Amino acid sequence: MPRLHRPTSLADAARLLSTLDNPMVYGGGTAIQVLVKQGILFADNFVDLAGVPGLRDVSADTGGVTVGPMVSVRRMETDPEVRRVVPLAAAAYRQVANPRVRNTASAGGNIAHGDYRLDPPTALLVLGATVRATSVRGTRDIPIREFFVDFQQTALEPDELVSGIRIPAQPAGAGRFVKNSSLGENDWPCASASVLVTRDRVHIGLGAVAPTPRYVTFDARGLDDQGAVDAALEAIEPALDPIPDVRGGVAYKRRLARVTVEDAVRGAWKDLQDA
Amino acid sequence: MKLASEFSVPAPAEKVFPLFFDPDTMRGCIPGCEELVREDERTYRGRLVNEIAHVRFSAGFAAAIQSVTDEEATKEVTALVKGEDRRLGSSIKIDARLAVRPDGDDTSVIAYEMDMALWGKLGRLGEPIIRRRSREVEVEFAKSLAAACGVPVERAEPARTSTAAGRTSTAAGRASTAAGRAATTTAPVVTSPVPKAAVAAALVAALALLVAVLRRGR
Amino acid sequence: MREIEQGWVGGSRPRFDTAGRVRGMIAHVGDQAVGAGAHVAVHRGTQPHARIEAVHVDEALAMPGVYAVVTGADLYKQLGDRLLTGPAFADQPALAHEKVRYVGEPVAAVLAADLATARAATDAVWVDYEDLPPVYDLADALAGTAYVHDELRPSSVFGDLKHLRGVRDTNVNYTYNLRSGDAEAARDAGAHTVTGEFWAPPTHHVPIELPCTIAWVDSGRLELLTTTQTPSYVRQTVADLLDLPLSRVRVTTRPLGGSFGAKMYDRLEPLAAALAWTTGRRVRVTATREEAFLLTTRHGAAVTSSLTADAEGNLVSAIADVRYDTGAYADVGPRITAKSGMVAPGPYRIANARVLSRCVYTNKPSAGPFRGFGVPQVTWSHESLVDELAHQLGEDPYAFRRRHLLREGDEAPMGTRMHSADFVGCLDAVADAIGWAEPLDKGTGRIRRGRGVAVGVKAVLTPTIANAVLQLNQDNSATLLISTIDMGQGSDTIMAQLAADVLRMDSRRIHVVRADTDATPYDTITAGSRSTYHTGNAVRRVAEAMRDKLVGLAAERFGVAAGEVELTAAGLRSGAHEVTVAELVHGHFGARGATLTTEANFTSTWTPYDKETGRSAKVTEHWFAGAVGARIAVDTATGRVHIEHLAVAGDVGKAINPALVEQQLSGAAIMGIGHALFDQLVLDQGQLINGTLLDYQLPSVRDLPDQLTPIVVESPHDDGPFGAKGVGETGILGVAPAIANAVRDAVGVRLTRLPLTPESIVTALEEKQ
Repeated sequence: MPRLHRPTSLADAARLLSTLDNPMVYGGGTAIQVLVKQGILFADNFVDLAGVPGLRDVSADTGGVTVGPMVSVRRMETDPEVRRVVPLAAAAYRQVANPRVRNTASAGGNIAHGDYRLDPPTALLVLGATVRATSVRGTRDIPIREFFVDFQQTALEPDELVSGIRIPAQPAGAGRFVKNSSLGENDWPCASASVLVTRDRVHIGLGAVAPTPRYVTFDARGLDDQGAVDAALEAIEPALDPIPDVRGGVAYKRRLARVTVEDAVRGAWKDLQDA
Repeated sequence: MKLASEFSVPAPAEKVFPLFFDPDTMRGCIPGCEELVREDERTYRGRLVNEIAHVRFSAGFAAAIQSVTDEEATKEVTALVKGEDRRLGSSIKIDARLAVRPDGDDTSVIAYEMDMALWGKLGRLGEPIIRRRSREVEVEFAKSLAAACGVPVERAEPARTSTAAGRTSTAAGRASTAAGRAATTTAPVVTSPVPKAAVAAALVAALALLVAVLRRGR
Repeated sequence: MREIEQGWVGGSRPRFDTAGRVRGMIAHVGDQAVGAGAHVAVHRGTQPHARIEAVHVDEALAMPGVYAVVTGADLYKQLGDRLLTGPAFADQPALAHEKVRYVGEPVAAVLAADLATARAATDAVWVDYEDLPPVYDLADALAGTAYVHDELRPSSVFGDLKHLRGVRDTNVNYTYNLRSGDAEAARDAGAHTVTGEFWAPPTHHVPIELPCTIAWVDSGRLELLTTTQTPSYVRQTVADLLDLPLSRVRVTTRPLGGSFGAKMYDRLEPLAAALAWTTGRRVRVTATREEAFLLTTRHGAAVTSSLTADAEGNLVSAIADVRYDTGAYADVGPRITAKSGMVAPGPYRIANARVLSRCVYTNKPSAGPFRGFGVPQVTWSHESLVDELAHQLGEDPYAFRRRHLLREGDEAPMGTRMHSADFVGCLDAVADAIGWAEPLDKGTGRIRRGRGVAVGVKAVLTPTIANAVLQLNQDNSATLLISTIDMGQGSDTIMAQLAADVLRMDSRRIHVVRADTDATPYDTITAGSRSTYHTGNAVRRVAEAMRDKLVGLAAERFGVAAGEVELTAAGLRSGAHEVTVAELVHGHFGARGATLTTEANFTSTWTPYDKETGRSAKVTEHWFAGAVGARIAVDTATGRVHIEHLAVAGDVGKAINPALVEQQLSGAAIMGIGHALFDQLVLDQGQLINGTLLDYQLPSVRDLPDQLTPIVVESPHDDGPFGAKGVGETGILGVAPAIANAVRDAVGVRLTRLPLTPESIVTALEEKQ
């Protein structure tokens, strides 16, 4: 069984990560506990961030919101500031798993997990968030669009932890988050998309349809709604690289990705016209 | 689970093929291959050790060559590989076919097909990860093999033209009890000399597995 | 008074234990502290089919906190062939012996001071195997080149399996044949024939409570506390395993947190008993959620079938070739094969029928009982066929069925008459509920809507035995001793209602004792929807015996004839004479707290079916009749099915507790939704690849229909307690075909493989275009 360490400062946490054998950051624990239960997690040491002060803060300013890594997914869904400043992100966080998981899972752990099917990364990609990574060597900012490197692999070094997420304020426009499962309604998504339509551009974050969350954008000037849908479907095509599994084959997943993006773009486009 | 792909190596088939006969080359080409010994005419034993994300991983395997064809147009080996990871309580069995064919004067294409069975803890979670990882392992193997051929590493890369085929095959091999079946093992057809190529094919798959597990464990 | 009547027959008394279950105030087996005993974890095999050459346990044994490591060979040395148990075939070892037959089979058990140590030590056990050719599926098994078992070993439980003893070179462990008329000739001569290749995949029960067994030796007796639906069976099995008289085995139970057939027959109990007996330690064996998936499953079943109508539209031939994949061990598969095979033609008047139903071994986790007992798999076939035949004849699928359904007194193809099986009433009720007669806006765009119905028939397990003992306490409360297991269905509540109704007392004053083979009498099993009828009859009888006893005592006290005494809620009365029950019993014994005792038995009988024709004049004590109606919407872009309205009707004879009956119908329907749309165990080369709750699909609240209507149909049974029959399985039989028939109505494609995933629907739509 891994040993549990409970640092009381960020510096302590970083030091533990740099010195312990096979350490793993323990946030909300919702992903880790599943792996532990299945007997396939080989961390020797857990560095639990629960006791580090200041990691649960959400602060908003005119430019956006900054959230600590231990802010719960549930709070990202319900916090009035998050909902006001980055409503698309709040909408994506709202769709994660179920309320019990959202109450426990952390915003930092969610992205550090790096799973290709997670909902929040799709919105963070669209909004151009920045991940703050801290280690004994200091703190650096990683653009979210460079964060998801490969299948369940992020740009974090082994001794780094997510110490914050900065989400720029959502620009004027309309956003939609849509996800579709292929089996039970409450299952992992088979395809998900965050879409933001602004006056001149369409931004799309894709989940579950490639080994990593994907981001695409295109110039939407002069397009009508059908034109935007057509352009979106063309834009996402190179980004689609689904992994076949019990939830569907490649062809079905590609199809579902297109339907999901079409619905999201159409919905956002309509919202923008109605506004 | 069926895996299939092909990649090019910037060396002629006549030059590539003999390399498969050399355990030292193979050991060097396969990341993490620490041991590789020939037990008898048709059997090899080895051990793969890997360390990713601070996790050290070690699995023993045995490869038995089932058939060999070494002709001008067709150079092909089939092998049955069995490995075991005790720590993970898992077994792996691979029916592998590895073929080398010329592709112009200075290039050859290595094609592999594997029918992989994964049993135990790994089996219930590994498939999508393995499919994904096998591509990366292929890249590393191709690079090492190219280097062994005396070609600068930068020049070696998987044949982009073949990735479409590789992807199609992964789609076709989706978990289906009917489609995912191994061909019945038939009596080995042995022609001498026995090359070591099968070991390589097997290890590509085995390594894919190991890497996949380690990343997941992280 | 009205409150008392709510606890009598026909009253919707709430379950007596609802609050306790919801708030965790009821102790389940897993809550029981094991004390100074050993926690057990098992090392599981990693080969689908292999000979065990050696099991290396030294490393595990050397770990601190490990008490012992036990292998199948160790147990075999002490128990010999008694190690092999099973309800139909003595084929299943508590730990693999000589061979492993599926991936994940228990090979060695580690006993340790705590569970974490035991589990860690299982990783230090390793095994040398010699591969054997695997039998992955029905096609492999029937090809007959490799065999899961070298020879068949029927157990002594099923007398009719004796002829199979010693049969070699086959994976078919049981065959049921139905021959009624000449179905092939009738098909060939018929005007319209529809055919299909149907598949219903293996599924898992996923009860919330995980299985757990604690076993220990006390005064030379083997005692068990275990999660089981079958305490009487477990006592017999353990007595046989350890070669003990029944009096030296005690099986105790707690309320189950759901089961659905998962906790029956030989699960953890033989292993726990063998370990406790051979090591002398108190042992606790439990299963993780992932391990529970390997303990037992629902049979995957393939059905190749046809249904033929003559030129007038009469059904003239039904033919079905049914193959149940029972996995590595037969479990109760042979009984499922017969019981379900005999209803494969469906609940229709059909002149000629032919069924071949086979139970087949493969190298997969064993399949066993599951709500519906194999019948949903054949209902999937016959309700798809009859629907398609109606479509092809241009007839309304509801009216077509209605015309051909069996009526009271009709003889079904297997030779038994129908009684208290109101198929027409059930079908009418669901069709009415979903508005079958009204026009439906089917849509023209992306969303298409449709409606479907299906009917199901199932026989109750027969013959079976039920016993009841009633102790009436002097204060007019009572203790009812039966061996029925309350797993959430509410049996303890309704059994008290039955007794209370007879005795005109407050049902809340009747305590139903948890099954304990030292105290509660023999009862075959709590399964197959049999308890309301069988145990209910025993309870009715034991209460009537008590009533007679009270009346006799009162007659004596009053000095009148027994026929002149009446028992009411106020007490016993005859003319001007009155006495309360408490006074009467006090007067009789001269003591407070004394008890009066009665006992009763109810045993059902049958006529075994003919080996050649599969026919019997009384193959079952009674029938379950159910129907399902579905109104759905298909998103043709995604292939997703949304259920707008699901109506489920069951003929229960008489609802002892209408609220609980409705909950059984609704619960079964929801489980059926999972089976229809996404619930399945996926295996690849013998490996279960979705055996975790991350991947295995169950209906969540978001998968429920917009409207779910349970409908109680009452066609009283002559011999049921107050006319009642069971209801646990009735609701699940027709759910999948009703939904598939609605998909057919909505988008014009006929799917024959379950589940109806969005991908399969989209693929079918593309093929159609």
